[in-house]
Amino acid sequence: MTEEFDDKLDSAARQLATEISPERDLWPGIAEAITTPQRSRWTPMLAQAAAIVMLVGASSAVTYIATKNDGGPIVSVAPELVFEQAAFGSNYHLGPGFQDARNSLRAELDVELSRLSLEAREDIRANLNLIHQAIVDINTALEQEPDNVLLQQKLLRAYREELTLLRRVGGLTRNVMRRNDI
Amino acid sequence: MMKKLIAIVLGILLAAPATAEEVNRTLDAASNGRVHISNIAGEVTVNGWSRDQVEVTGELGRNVEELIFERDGNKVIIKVKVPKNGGRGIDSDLHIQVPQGSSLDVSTVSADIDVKKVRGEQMLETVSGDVDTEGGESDVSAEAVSGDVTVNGQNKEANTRANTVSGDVILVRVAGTADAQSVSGDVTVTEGSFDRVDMNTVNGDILFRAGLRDGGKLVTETVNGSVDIEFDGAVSGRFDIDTFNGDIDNCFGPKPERTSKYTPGLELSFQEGDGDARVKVSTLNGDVSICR
Amino acid sequence: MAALLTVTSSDYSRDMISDPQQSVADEQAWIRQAQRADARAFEALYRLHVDKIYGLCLRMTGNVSEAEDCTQEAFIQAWKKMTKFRGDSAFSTWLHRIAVNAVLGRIRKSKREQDRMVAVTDVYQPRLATGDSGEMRDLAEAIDRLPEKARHVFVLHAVYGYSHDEAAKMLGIAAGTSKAQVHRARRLLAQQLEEQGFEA
Repeated sequence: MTEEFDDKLDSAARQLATEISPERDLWPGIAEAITTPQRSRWTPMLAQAAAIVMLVGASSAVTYIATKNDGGPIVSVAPELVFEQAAFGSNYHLGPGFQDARNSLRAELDVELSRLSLEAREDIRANLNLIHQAIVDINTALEQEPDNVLLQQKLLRAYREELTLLRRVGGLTRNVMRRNDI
Repeated sequence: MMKKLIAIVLGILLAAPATAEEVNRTLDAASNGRVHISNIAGEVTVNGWSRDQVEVTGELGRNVEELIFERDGNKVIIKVKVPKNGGRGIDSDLHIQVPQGSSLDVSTVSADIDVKKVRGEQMLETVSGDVDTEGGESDVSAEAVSGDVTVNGQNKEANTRANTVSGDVILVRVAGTADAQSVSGDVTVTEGSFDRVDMNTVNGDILFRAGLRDGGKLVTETVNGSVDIEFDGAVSGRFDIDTFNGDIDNCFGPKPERTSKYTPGLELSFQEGDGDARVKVSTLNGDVSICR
Repeated sequence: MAALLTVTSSDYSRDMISDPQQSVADEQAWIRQAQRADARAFEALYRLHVDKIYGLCLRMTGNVSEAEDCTQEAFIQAWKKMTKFRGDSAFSTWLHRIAVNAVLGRIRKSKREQDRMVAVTDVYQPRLATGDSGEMRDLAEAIDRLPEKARHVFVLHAVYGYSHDEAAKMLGIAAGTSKAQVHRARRLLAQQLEEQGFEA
């Protein structure tokens, strides 16, 4: 049955226009790039030196300013659902997909916990607290050393453990729901 | 004075922070030993070849302290050593040739991993990056936290683990047993044939287009996403399918029933033929489609 | 594969389209001249092929401003590599490959510069008139919204008719992965379009 739709899809796809006019003339940008003389393009060494901007002032002092690139964006997590910030260094951060997954699991957590026995609930909360504490500790350390890759690694692992636990809670309560026919 | 200044300026220019350092080193190695590779950031590409040697080529970031490359009996270690506070200029691109019978242990933080033609066991791990491997003939464990994991197998029996938190998992032509998991991302298994396969995600779709053997077990779970299964070949056994908010489209015949008249949710359990395969499908918010 | 030749506003191209036979002969001449760094000849090649390249870039990136960047990048790369074109494939095929590399190159570059996980198409830019209409437009927009890797494969395979082997080669992935991504793409498109009552 899906095969029929797949065939329709494929034949429709084949009919899509393969030639599309750009809305503006792109040639000027290309012309400029290809006719600029070679030597105005920076060699890697010059580019690196450019990170050190030098001003030879009228007074015979050489002043140089080292310019650093800004670090990448810092992730910001919806504060209502999380009690710690995720502070990553300049290389990467967890994006919206991760946040969505985490937020939807966290939002369902209390509802799901209410379906379990008191003991199970306590157990899970205790585990989550442990992981949260680890996350808080690592974030604090990262604030001092934002580029410490080992800390970043640890933090991501902690988040993963948390998600795995949250997911298992979901799995558990689903079983419970199925068994408790009204 | 100007001349001196110019000299200083030129001196600084010429002594600008070292550019990336090129690497080209080779060591003899056991034909089926273990190669451990560790890189913090950049890329790691590993290819198996027929020589009993390990060759490392590529570029080290300008702030890399050193490349450790040594052999200890059956083991070869390749490690990019960076200053403790990481920072910029540590990106290193490593191209590594290893004896094709080697087993591999690759660990990176912010780097893509690409492995081809390696027949031994593979343990590949990154935090932020994609993992791509041609599984060989042995067990493969490929993990990312933020990135896609793709295993292209050779239809050889093995245990394959492919795991990510944020990213997609794709297994092609993998055979034997497999565990494919994501949290925010799709899990896709195509071609190949299984005794046991677990596919699991939270926010993402599950797609299965492969074979389940006699007595085999397929478990697919997602929370927010659809499950789409089309078996290669016949499947005979017990099916248990449930969804909370979604439809069940079942080619095998039996129609789903409401779990309870008080809650939404559909479930469907049936026996197809008299085999003992087990197919378990579960989603919270999503449709299920099962066909052969 | 329906190829819609759309007319651009340049005088150059209006002349060129009038006689296809002449175009082929002209193209050969322009290639030879461009290989000798003749920018005017290269511009003629640009005018002849830009719609194909822009179309490919637009479908692969799903986004107008990236498609414009990719198109320019592709032609700039083609200019640099002109002498490497040996004529063992059609010039447009050669350009296609360069365009795909330009798309992939930009993705690699942006991953390195920032984090890896922020979706590039977070802000969905609706396509302006492209010649697609009605349901074709729905399909085109649904393709734009596919996750990146699935979109790349689907565009090359289903829209441009490349085989899995060819598409895989252009994208630097395994042929099996290409097939898997097409399955994914079809499922995702089916979900999107069924909601809109798509009838091919």
